[in-house]
Amino acid sequence: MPYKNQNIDIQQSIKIKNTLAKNGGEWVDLPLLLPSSTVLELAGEGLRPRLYFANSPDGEELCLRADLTMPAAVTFIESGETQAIFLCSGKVFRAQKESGVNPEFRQMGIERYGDKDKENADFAIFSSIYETCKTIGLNGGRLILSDGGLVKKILETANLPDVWREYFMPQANVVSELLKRINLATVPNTDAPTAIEKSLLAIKNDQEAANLVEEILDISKLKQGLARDTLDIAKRLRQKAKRQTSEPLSKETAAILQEILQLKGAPNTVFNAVWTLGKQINIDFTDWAKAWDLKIQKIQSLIDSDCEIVFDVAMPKRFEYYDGIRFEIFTNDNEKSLASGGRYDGLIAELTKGEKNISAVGAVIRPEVILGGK
Amino acid sequence: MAGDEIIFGLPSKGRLKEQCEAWLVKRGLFLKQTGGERGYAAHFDGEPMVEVRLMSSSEISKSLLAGEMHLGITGEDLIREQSPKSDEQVEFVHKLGFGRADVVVAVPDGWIDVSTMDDLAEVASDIRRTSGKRMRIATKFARLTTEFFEKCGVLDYRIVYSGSATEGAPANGIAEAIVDITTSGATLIANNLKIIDDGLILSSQACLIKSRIATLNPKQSALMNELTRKFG
Repeated sequence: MPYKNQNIDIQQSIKIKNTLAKNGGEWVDLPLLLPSSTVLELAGEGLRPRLYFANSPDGEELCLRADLTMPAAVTFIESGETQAIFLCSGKVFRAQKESGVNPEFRQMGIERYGDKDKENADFAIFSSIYETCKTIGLNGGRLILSDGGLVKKILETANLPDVWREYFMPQANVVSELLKRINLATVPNTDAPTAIEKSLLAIKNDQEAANLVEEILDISKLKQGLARDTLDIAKRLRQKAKRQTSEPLSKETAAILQEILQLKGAPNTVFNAVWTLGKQINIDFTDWAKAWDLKIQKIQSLIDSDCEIVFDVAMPKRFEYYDGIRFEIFTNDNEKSLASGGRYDGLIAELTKGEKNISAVGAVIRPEVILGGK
Repeated sequence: MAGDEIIFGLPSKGRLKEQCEAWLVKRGLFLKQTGGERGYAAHFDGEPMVEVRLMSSSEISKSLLAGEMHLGITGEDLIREQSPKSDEQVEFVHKLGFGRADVVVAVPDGWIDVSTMDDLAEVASDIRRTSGKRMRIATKFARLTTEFFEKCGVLDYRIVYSGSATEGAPANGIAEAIVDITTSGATLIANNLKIIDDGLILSSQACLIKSRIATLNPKQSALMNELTRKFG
């Protein structure tokens, strides 16, 4: 292996571990190998090119962990507990886009589950992580904050025709795709609905609509496979027809949505802009902005005055399960991400197929960014 | 790779091997198999310094990308699938006009609401919302699929590896849709599948490919130049 091994010395490691543990928690060993089906089901196939795969003797495809969050969540579920604070440390493995960059690097972090007071847990995590960054030499730096549930909230509450809301919602986690769809929605549709789509629009009863699709498939000797029934197909044909016959999204509304989604800057400036723009599409951001003002004040009380804070409405999600506060701490040169984390309340429910609904928040630092070079 | 030979990989059997041989004969290179028809080592008549290895197309791709072979004939689809940085590792010297196969996205023909990748993106989201699981795509082209789907904004899917009989996956409940190679589309139709209008991922064919990684000493360089002139 041509990569230079990155190690931090024992004294530094002890210092980091002590700081991370200041708000309690138990050190846990996390699995290195995870079933790749679990990882890809949760994170999406976009992660595949960055994963390292292995096969178990019984043929199951496994992958090396790409972060600590997922193995920690799996370990927590297996423990059967309903509340826990895990402290964890170890290598994670992600193929890098640039040639020659080591794909394995150390992360050290905290994962908290089942806290009743979520906000308190968020700040406890942030405080420990920030202090740890300081311990290893962060001076000034840049803190990027975001709200993982904000884009969804904007789409749910904005004054939008339902037909466009339904079209936008599936892309709430990927803003580049969402922006494309908003653009498309403003373009007048030149395709008229097909005869089948027109017929389906006229039928209000779902069963009748499904029957019509079934009849068409029978006559044409077509098969829809096992995953979708004729009602699913009928509903989508109706949706398409509705889009084709609806007024395009107004350019003004599209411009406001696009402006909100691309807001990034000093928190107060962003909150004011979100509030003002939101009002124009009937979203009342008053409570949201107040809550975030308080969060920012609290965060400011925890960090150095020379640490720049930036709020990014649609911070790109490396893993799409983040659904609450998210943060990332960069070194002074603004190039290297030293720490990141956030709230991911839906992950445990997703891993247990809805059996357990336990809140979760976590964060990690990458000490080698400062201590070990690249 | 010790010695001064140029290592040349050719498909070891079937129609593709015959087409390769015919293409080479037109350029004055006659294949002689050392162990008879069933042997996997060969050379070109009058070219003792060219060591011909008869291998599977997939192995030829791997060897070229790893720099273990200087030249070879294999499908573009295999090269593109096996490496994200293939243009840095190999040079496509000639497209040979045979061994054509399109890598395409195909869905059940009863999905009359799906004709574009945008439609597929929406269906994938619907499946995830209603079942809690991502739509499954059966394929052996995981890399090409991931890159293409990302470009098309299809997010809510998962790849299920399928080495053979991929066209049967939707009917067997293994996957909802597939990415596979097709020449005439007949097998897809026979399995009640249809190609998505903008679902052509790669139009592949057999190519003469040179490894950029394989090292060449001065003698090998001279021979490579000579061979390249023959290939035109």
